[in-house]
Amino acid sequence: MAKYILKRLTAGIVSLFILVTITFFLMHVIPGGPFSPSEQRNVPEKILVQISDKYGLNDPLIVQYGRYIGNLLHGDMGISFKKQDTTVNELIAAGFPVSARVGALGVCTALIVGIPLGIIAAVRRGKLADGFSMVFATIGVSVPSFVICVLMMYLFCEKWKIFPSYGLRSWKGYILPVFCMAFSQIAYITRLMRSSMLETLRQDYIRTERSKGVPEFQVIGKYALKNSILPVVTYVGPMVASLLTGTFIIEKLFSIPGLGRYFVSAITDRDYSVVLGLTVFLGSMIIICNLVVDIMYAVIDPRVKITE
Amino acid sequence: MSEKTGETLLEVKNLRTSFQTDAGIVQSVRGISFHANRGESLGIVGESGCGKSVSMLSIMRLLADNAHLKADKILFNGEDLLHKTAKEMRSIQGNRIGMIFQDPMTSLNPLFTVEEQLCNPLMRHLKLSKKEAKARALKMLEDVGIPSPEKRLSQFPHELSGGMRQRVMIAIAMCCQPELLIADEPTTALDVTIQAQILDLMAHMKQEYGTSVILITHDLGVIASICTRVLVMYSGLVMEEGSIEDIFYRTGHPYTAGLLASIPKETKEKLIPIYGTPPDLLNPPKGCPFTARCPHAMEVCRQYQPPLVPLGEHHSSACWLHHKSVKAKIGEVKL
Repeated sequence: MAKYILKRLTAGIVSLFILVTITFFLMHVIPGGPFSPSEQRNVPEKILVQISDKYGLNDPLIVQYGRYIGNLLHGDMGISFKKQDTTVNELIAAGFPVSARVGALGVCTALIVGIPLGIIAAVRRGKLADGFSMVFATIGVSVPSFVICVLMMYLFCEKWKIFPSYGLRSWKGYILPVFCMAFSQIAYITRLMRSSMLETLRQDYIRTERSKGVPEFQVIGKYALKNSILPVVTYVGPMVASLLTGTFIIEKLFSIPGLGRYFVSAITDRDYSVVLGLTVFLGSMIIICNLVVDIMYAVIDPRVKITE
Repeated sequence: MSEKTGETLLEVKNLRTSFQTDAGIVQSVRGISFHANRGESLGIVGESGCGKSVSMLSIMRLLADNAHLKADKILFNGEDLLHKTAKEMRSIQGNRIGMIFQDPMTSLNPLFTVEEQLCNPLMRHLKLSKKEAKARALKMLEDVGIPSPEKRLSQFPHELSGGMRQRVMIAIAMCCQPELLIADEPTTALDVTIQAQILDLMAHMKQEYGTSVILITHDLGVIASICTRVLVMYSGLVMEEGSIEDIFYRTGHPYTAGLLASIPKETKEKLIPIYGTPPDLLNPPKGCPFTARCPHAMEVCRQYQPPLVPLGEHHSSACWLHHKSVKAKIGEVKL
């Protein structure tokens, strides 16, 4: 097992290296740079050259690349071009815990609501409960999250004034962002769980369980659930990685000081080091989550053997 | 239990099961009546789709949601199964009636150990503790001839061979010492050598536990090896009923005769198949369902369903050839 994990992590580092390389060069293909003149910022040419020189942006790309990789190997992801006196490491260290708290709550909500809803829909197939949850799931999948966010803000913050519309100062602040984040995920998980459960309930071994006089609750909640949970586990892996690192729309709308907003703002700002830093960070998260998913597979299904 | 041998254990009257499908209502079982006695082995034969399995699943109430079940009565040991709630049925399923299914490769839950699957009914029905259940499960595995049962108990189904899995299924079905064992084509999916072993095992278990057996198969050879009485089904109806001798030596129905002619034998050079296919159960024919394939078909067969005509003490056949009005006209027909 330890050997397997070590092997997977090594492979992960190789993937990360490829990811960084591609991102690095693609990023520089985009016209402009962190100090490109704009309407608000009219900097004399000489100063621009000087700043660029200071950050090594005038060196050949390959030299810049080598320097970045060298620093990265020491765990140094550089300093932000946009945020004054802040290293990328500091940026992540400050933003990630905030994003992760909201994200973890979002993941839990999505699972706690989505899985039972999918099971109920499958068991009550064709009945009212099934129809209701499928309508809900379709809405959840098709309505963009910013629409949900704005609607929730209007209702709960503006009209009824139950929850604050920004910040995370009290537990009340968490409720709307977590709900909005979980909404579409609940929909996906419900649909996945429903179809997987329907498939499992058709299997011969479920008939065998029933022929033994096992109560329906146990047949579904234990014997069928374990067989039908795998597709959900597969989906949840990458979902955890992306929710924990924050969601741009939700963090922007609810003014949450997390990581999510940098994923977009860093690109528009051409904040090279932040773009790369976040890519490395999200990439590592995905690699770790996928590893956890694969281990979970082997734990759930004895037919899956972890080959060392 | 032996003093009760011969008493009626299961009595089914006019069982009808249909399925609501997109294409219409499929009438899988169209009114069958039969009984099974204590300590006997009843065989039910017929080709695929004739309603053998569906009638047994109806009795066990294991049908899918789109099934519709009607019957005049289903009595098990004098108890009315037809009007039992799902909860009441659960105290019978796996406890007083055990069931074995056709395909051992798919009938066991792949994600749970043999122990879990075997101990569940023991703890549920016999109210055994976990430890007692495990001890009994071990003994059951030994009884069904599984070597090193201790090791097998903690294994998963995919670690066992097909024959082993069917042995485990038998152990599960028999673990609460049921009064009735329903075996739905228990050997169809197995190698011939394993088939014989499984049949031997079933005969042995029946002896040891005094269980009555209903064996569903399409193989008359299997019937001959362990059954005492036979029910021949076709197109959701009973065609012929009788002792094993009646069926093999005093065949009373052209369909039974056709089945017997299609068994491979060393002395026969050529197998004689029954030409054609069974009728569509979405739209069953008005008269005898076998008319289209029957070498003796007459006009009356097309128009009217034949009644079950008694041919002996326990022997009867649903064929117009045995009806006295037809006999008076064309005399005895050799099948």
